[in-house]
Amino acid sequence: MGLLQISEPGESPDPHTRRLAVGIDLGTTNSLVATLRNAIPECLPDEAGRTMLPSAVRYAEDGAIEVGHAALARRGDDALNTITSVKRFMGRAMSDLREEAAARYQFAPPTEANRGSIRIITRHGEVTPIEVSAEILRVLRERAEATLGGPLYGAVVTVPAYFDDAQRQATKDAARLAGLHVLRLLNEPTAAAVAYGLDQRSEGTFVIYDLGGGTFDVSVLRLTRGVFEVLATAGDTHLGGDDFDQALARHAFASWSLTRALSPSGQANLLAAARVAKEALSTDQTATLQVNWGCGFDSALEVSREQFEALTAPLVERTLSLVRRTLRDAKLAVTDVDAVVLVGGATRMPQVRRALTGLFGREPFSDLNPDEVVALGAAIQADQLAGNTREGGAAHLLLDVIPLSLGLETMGGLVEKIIPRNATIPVAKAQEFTTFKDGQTAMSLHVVQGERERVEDCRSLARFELRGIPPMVAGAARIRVTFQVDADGLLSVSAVETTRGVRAEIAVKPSYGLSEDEIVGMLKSAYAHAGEDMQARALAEARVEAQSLLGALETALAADAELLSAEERSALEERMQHLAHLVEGDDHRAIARAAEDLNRASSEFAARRMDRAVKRALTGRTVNEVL
Amino acid sequence: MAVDHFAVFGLSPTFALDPAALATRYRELQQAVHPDRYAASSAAEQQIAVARALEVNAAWQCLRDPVARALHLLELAGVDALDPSETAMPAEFLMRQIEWREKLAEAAGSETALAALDAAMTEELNAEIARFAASYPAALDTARDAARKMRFIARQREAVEQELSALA
Repeated sequence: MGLLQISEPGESPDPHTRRLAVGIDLGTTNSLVATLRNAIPECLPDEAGRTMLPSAVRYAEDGAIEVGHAALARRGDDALNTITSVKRFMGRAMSDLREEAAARYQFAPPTEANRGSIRIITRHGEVTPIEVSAEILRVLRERAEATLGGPLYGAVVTVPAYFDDAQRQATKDAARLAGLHVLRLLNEPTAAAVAYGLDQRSEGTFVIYDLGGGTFDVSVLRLTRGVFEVLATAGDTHLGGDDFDQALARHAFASWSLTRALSPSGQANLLAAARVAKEALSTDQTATLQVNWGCGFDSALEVSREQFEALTAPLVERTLSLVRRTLRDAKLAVTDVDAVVLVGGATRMPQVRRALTGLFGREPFSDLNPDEVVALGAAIQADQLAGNTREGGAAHLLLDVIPLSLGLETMGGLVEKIIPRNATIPVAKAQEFTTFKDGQTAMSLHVVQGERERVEDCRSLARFELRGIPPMVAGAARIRVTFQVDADGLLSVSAVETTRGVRAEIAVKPSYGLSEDEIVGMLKSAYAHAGEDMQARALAEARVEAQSLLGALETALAADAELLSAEERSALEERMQHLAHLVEGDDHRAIARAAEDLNRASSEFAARRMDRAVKRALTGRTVNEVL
Repeated sequence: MAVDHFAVFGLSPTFALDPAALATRYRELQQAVHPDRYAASSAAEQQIAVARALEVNAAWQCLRDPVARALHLLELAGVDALDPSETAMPAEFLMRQIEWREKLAEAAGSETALAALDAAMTEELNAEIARFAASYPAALDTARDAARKMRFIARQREAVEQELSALA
């Protein structure tokens, strides 16, 4: 632990240089928040010293919303109002619900208006998975702000690598609702790799095996001189520690030959007991699964580790086959792998470790706490994305991939792949389409995600219509549709009719998420609830934006002023002074306008700086090796 | 006018590339342009960084793959190898394609049979790659023919690998 730096009273140590940024692991079972302190990432504990916040939210009788341990404690006796494992519902529709999950809560029936999205009925009314997740994120934000002593600049929120576009968008929306500025959605295995790679200063090829509470991911990464390059990723967003609990619970239920179906409370009690037994079996050879059904009635069953391993062997095998598939996608053999890293609490199970040792012929790594490593890596990335790494500083770089192919529906319900899985992001791809009938003026596009050939076997992401195509004979129009996946793994689509230049922008709003209006409405009511003034908030945000732009330009001018002529420079500085002046006032619209104007005026300078950076990279020492 | 992916990497159009050196150059370029390196910069700079990172990734996707690289070289030379009006392939090659499809159907479900087919197709692909390397840029017609066959074989091989993946 480094020495703490204490400044003179009333003096801040290094004003406006360090921004408060955190990494958040929003897990199925537990969530954590971490930050970088004195260059070392650490998870932030609550008042009781616990870093893990159970991902449980209870809508209490008195109108309060309990999150974490308090909520979890009431799961047995207030099951319908205590939401756990909500991550499994993110970005999903009612039609996706599995039987076991569907039995746990009461759901609002799907209607046209809610587009089949999941709405859980609680005593506070209907809540969406996004709102439930936002409650968890809000508690973590407040914990971080209380510990760090100020409002957060932003957060990196982790998601399973195998999350599709709808699940990612839902996570980002939840963070917005929780009042977080999302610096990046980061894939969990990649976050873990950052924590490990930077900790061990290693180079080579790594397999990250991440078995969490509800999701499984495997990523193959190559680490070379600070660049983390994901070569391939695969996973299952419905495979995790929860499934091991369920296998054990089903076994117990069957062996007791109970005659009645379980109530939601009974189910919650049984699952909780199975989880306790599962955890005990990681260290003990036998464990007793004990359930108190209430009214003095209880059941108990002794389970041996062998029995448990036999019950869950198919689950472990599913993860191994995904590991093999990822290696195949990365075009690597098991012998090419330098190390296997374990992430997620469920990797404590001995059968998982044994299976991996069997596959790779070496023991997997688990030096860092598998519960914390994702949050720690996210904290490191958050610090960098907040701009706390100085120019020229020892920064690392993450090159991640898209986990599932993106495609378009074509004739006969087939899928035309546009961006293949494992393509490095950000990525953009344009595809040309034409009309089918004479005089056709509109075209409907259906974007899907998945690997299968038929549309019904892939996940529908969005449907949108391109209108205003000039009427022409069939096949004459040229519609160029561009798909872009940003560094968060989120898709946007734009389309243009190239012969006439008709343009259409389409934001891909997933079929089952919240609409932008709904989010804005929720944000407004959240501010009103917290007694916050929207105007004051807008002003504060505009000032922060403007100041960071001014800071960025000052740094850029100090480094590369010679790229500008004297006139160009003074024109830029004039605008900077104008903005600096406006920031002193309280007209947030004027500040935003001037910032936008300055930003536009500086784009030529930005382009020249980028050209210089590229030139430097191209004249690096490897030039002769390539040519 | 086609984008020159070679230019993005500071290279002149050429088929023979050292994969390791290309990968190193890729990482160096991303270190220079990736938007994450401009987290503290102006929005204008970040937008340019995104555009550049997209360009570098697109070039990398193309240059690292011999099939895409060959087609791109022809494109730069003004030859559209995939012109839909000239899809005719020699009968002998079409026969071979039908044969591969039959073999794929037979091999379905068997990892060893699929792996053997995968290896055989890789060999065929390598033969066409060698033919392309020998003919480009001196004999563009031969190069074009080789590139088209490369693409056919690569697609067939992809189907085999898809089956293998599904099996895993």
